[in-house]
Amino acid sequence: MGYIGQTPTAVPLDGDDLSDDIITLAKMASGTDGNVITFDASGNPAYVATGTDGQVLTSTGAGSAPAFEAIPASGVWNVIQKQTASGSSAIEFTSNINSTYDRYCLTIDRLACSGSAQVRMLVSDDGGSSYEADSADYGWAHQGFDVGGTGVTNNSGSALTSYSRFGDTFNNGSTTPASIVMWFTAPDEAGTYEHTFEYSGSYPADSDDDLTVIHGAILFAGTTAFNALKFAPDTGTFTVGTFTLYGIKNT
Amino acid sequence: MARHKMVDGVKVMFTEAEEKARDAEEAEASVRRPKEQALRLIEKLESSITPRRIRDALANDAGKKWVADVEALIATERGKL
Repeated sequence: MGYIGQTPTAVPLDGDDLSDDIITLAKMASGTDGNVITFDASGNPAYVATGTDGQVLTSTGAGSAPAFEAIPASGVWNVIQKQTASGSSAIEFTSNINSTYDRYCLTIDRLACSGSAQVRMLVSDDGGSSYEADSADYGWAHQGFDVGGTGVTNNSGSALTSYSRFGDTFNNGSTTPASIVMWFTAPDEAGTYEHTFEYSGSYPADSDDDLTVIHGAILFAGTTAFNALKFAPDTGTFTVGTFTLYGIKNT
Repeated sequence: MARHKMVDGVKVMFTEAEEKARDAEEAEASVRRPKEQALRLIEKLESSITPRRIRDALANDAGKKWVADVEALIATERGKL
């Protein structure tokens, strides 16, 4: 702006020179997408740098600007992987089975097979490149009670063999789905102890409306660590079903 | 139809070697499964001959026939092993 005569002396603005509520967003200087305005230790405006997807804004204590940080994984269930079968010959979990979690839980929900099948489980120590299947790698035992069916072995076990299985034969040509909840721990443990898996669940044994409830255990008779699991019917496919692997932290 | 597996949420088609291995498993199951079914049925039939059924067999012809019929069924299943 030009002036006639002397340029007026500059006088700093103070709070009285600006009315309330007149600084619009458009009047503010541009910033970085996702940054949040805060105040630094000197009381001056400052930015909190944008975090990464999934992080949350947390306090870093008095006299310090907040920050975007990951939620600590403590004392919670984490979904490691959820998989849905659809005419699938096998379901494999090959990641995050290690020392990350204190305990693991696998749920198999509303499982149906293309016909009568035994649902088997194998373990791998090389991330799923190959699965243990020697003649004495696995054993299993289960107890059950059958409602309405015939020819069901409710209490059964096996000497060590090349595979493991849940209960007896699932007759999933029927409309009754099967469900299993299985627990295991310390997949990374190696050298001394073998690995056990405990489960409970239900499945149709013979036909529609025929239900067997079971609980049982599977033994992997190796003292090596394992890091992958494979589930498969001995014949046919998993028509439908959801397999979810959870990792659980105690603290 | 080509088979597939789900690996960590990803659909993976079977390799030729996996297809052959699966064919062998299916063939093995087709031989093993009837025998397992026969064993289960034998166990079921055996457990159906209760002390009550044995007393009935000693007491009357109807009871005797019932046990004989079960024995015949067991023999049929044993023939499948």
